[in-house]
Amino acid sequence: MALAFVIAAPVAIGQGELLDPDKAFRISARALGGKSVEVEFKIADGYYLYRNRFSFATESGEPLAEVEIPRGALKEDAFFGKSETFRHLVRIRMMLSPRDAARGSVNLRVTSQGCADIGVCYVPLEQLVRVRLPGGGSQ
Amino acid sequence: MTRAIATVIALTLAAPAVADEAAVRRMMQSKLGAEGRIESVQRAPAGGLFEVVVRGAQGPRILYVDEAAMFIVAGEIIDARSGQNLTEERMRRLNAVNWNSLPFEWAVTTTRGGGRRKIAVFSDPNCPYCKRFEKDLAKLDDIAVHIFLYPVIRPESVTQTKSVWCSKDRAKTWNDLMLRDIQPTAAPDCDTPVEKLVELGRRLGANATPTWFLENGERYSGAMPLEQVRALLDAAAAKKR
Repeated sequence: MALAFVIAAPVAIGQGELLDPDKAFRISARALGGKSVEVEFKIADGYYLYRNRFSFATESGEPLAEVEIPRGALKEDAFFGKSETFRHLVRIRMMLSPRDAARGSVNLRVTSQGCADIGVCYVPLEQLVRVRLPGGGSQ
Repeated sequence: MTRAIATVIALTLAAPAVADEAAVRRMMQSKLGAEGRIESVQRAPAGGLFEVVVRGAQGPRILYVDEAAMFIVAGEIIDARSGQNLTEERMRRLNAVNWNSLPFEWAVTTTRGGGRRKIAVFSDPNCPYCKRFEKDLAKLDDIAVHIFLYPVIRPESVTQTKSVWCSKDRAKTWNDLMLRDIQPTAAPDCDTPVEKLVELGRRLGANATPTWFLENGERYSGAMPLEQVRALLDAAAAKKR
């Protein structure tokens, strides 16, 4: 139904507006040539993602290789311990299996986790993102 | 401004009849289909709009529609004179829980003084903001802090919270963990309400921690600065008396 979007995103509550995680961490993905894909998170102001909380899988069950997560900014304090985090933008590259690369598109299941500066941490967020592949279409 | 008014009048005239809540409900339900259940329809505080509350899987959502249900406003109404966010206040009431319906027999409770002020916190031991929040709460006197173990942030949180529940002194073990970083040592193999609490939290739409409730049922998210929390606690405690 066309109106699905209006109920999919509940208005957050609390002091200051807490964004729905899908809006705080906006995901997209694109192909970089035949075998390589890049997942991008646009991270809302005041929100951040943990470097060590990402995981990636394909819906086909085919393996991913050479997942390259850039270095994040080091956050260190009494409550958080030592952790690398990303703000604003992070791009992560990975290689598809030959079998996935031969398809017209691939669905990635991406798990991430982050917090907001207003003082909350989100439960792990799983997002499904579809990537169109240039060399595919044989299946 | 004049033009905006003219547009609204034109719409009103175009509608076959002056709609009422029931008509708006019918029109909206047909548009929503099976995606959401309309919980209520009433006049919105402004603009001749209707407020429609839709209850989806993730909790309530407020939409505003004109009386022909031709235009939907998915946004917030702010009183321009006072700056009050009327939509946010309404959401807070919609998200409120019945305090007495919370399962306090599953809570880990710390009471200081007479416990006049009351708060219930869905908390995870691996949520740094939860630790900061509880360290702040520990500075308040005359308060009952009810912790609902809510291990959703890290997989290892499940074992930790179960171990807390299986400890001899739950409150002390929890506070040691959250305030002093002392890990619980009890075997996590007793009967615990942890799974039921996770289910409850999800049903309440708590997709972030800490999520907390006051005695008046109001719900908040985040480690709010202590002075703000104190004011809210006092207001909720005063209202009851």
